[in-house]
Amino acid sequence: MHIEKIEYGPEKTGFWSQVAFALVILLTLVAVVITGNIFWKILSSDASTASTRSFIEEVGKLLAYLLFDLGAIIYLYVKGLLQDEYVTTLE
Amino acid sequence: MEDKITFTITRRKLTEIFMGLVALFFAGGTIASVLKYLWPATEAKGATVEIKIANADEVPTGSVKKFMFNGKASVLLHMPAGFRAFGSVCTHLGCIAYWKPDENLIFCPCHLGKFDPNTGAVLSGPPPSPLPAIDIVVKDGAVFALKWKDPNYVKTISFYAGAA
Repeated sequence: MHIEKIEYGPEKTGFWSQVAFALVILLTLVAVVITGNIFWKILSSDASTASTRSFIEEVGKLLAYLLFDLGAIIYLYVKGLLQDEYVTTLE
Repeated sequence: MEDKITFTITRRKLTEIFMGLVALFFAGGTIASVLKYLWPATEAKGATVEIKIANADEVPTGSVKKFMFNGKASVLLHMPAGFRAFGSVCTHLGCIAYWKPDENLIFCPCHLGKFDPNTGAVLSGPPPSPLPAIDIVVKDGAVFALKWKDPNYVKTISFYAGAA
């Protein structure tokens, strides 16, 4: 999917759009938890812990989860909440 | 006359608000992390903090473990006489010295400085002073770094550009 333009049109209605909305809210909360976890780790660790390979790998994994989570939110927002005619795509 | 306040919020607006809050949270955390990096919490001069270096069985006699202490490259050595820990930033020009087991000394490759692994004293080469010793304690099967023996050590090497 390549999105060219999103116009500010009316939202979708119906059951699946409500599911998408609920998922967006849920994934947003997940993003908050992951973000908090990342920064808690960074801010609460002393330098000797924060410079270990396992620490960096752990933070890297959390960042990857966060990226995936944000990608899923954007996908659900665009495909689940916006009416199709307001999302112009180039195949 | 009926006063009625109607507050309408669309799902889209709510989503945008939530995403904005996540972005703000992320930005705040990033700023806090940068601030922590730029102004790390400093202990009072000579204060004792325990930083675990390694479990004692991870470093058998004759071996070493590199670690960071107060942001400086350091090394824990397990000599036959016991554990020793030194900052491994060479006192000559700030290169990182390392353990050379075949010669039983700590060696700086930049200008061939050699240090005694038991005391940190200069054996040969241009370094003007010994490697800075770190007070350590062994307890509960682990080795902990406490503080620099010389509380002014970090201050005195701060002029080395790029010193680890």
